[in-house]
Amino acid sequence: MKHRLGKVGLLFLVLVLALASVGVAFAAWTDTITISGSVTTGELDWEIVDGSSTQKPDAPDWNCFWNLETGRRFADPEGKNVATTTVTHVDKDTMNVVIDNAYPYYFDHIAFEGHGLGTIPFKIWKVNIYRDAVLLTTLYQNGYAYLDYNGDGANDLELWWGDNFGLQMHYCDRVDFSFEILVLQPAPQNDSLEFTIEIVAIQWNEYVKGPLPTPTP
Amino acid sequence: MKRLGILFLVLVIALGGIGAAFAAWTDTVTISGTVNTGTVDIVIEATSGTEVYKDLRDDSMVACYYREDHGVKTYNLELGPLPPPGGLLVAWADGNITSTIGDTMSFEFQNIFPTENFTFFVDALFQYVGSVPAKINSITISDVVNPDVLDELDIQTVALRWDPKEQEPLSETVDIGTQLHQGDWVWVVLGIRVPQENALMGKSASGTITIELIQWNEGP
Repeated sequence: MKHRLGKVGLLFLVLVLALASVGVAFAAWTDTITISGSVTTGELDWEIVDGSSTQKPDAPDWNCFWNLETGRRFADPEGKNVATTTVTHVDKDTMNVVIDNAYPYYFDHIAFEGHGLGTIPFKIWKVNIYRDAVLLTTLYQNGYAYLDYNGDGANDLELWWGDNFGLQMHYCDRVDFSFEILVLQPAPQNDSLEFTIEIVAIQWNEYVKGPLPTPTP
Repeated sequence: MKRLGILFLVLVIALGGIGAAFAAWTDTVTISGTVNTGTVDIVIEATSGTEVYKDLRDDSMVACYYREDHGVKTYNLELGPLPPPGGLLVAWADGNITSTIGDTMSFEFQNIFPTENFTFFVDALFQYVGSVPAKINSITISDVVNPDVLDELDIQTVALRWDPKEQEPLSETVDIGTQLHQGDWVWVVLGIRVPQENALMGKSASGTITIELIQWNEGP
């Protein structure tokens, strides 16, 4: 029994041949190389070393007359212990200072160790000083801050920050930092005066002695 | 395609440049601080005064001494008797705390007259309640009216430390430069005797005494 290709069969055959020729055209020889990449960023991190803080002895109190710039610092000749400074290590990034029963010209010098943790070298860039959570001043070099709490135009506290601006720290470096605080005569009695000091470190390669430059258009 | 590629590359470089300028990596440590200030504060806790009666039963003079402590008046029977029944109050020396925070008092010597062995007096008990030690910096007398009358009177003042437990003065005198700590008490007495001079009849004089304390580390 003979079979003949009908019209439909003929069309199918033509299509198969056509597709086969197309397939040959798409399947040329190729070779590929692949570059896979990943970027692992470093970390800029430092800490306040727990247990590293030091201050003037609890007794006798230390006084400084009449300001931190030129004042004379001495222990109370009577050996009195009237005010108390307590420094607490809250966490690796935070330290808390409380001075109780402070009075004019009570003064303390508080020091602590900073410790490099991250993989990126950094420099001590700036110190922000806040009064009652309001940014009062930013220091880019040694300097003083004067804090007026009751808005009477007379300063109540004086702070001095003198350490290590621009100092470069690497992983595991330990560096001593310190600041001073002085209660001034206009300080209100029986009051609570709050301040915050932020010490900001910046990656070493972008350190400038001042605010970061703004980009030029 | 070529133009688009160049444009993309320029954008990437530009954005990268802006990012570097604005957002350097930083890490911050924070020191939070609180300064709780103390106080320099002395308050007047109690006053004492003198009342002089004429006992109408026998015409004798009876001097009575009392203490007024927060509005409660108590006669001191160690120093004198109770007022005589129906007695005539002739003269008195009285002190009153006049401010709610206890830093002001007024005293008044009224209708006082010459006496041989008797002094009209008022006193005040001060308690130092400040948390910062203080020294007596100054004692000033001001607003004096008729100072010539005061000059003619025999005025005596005594200031001693006071023992609040035994309720009696101690031997240590208190003067300018004396240091006070929290809980210390001071007894101040002002006594007046009128000399036997007719010129002092019907006279009046007044003045203000101000006692200033200063934190001990700045005191005299």
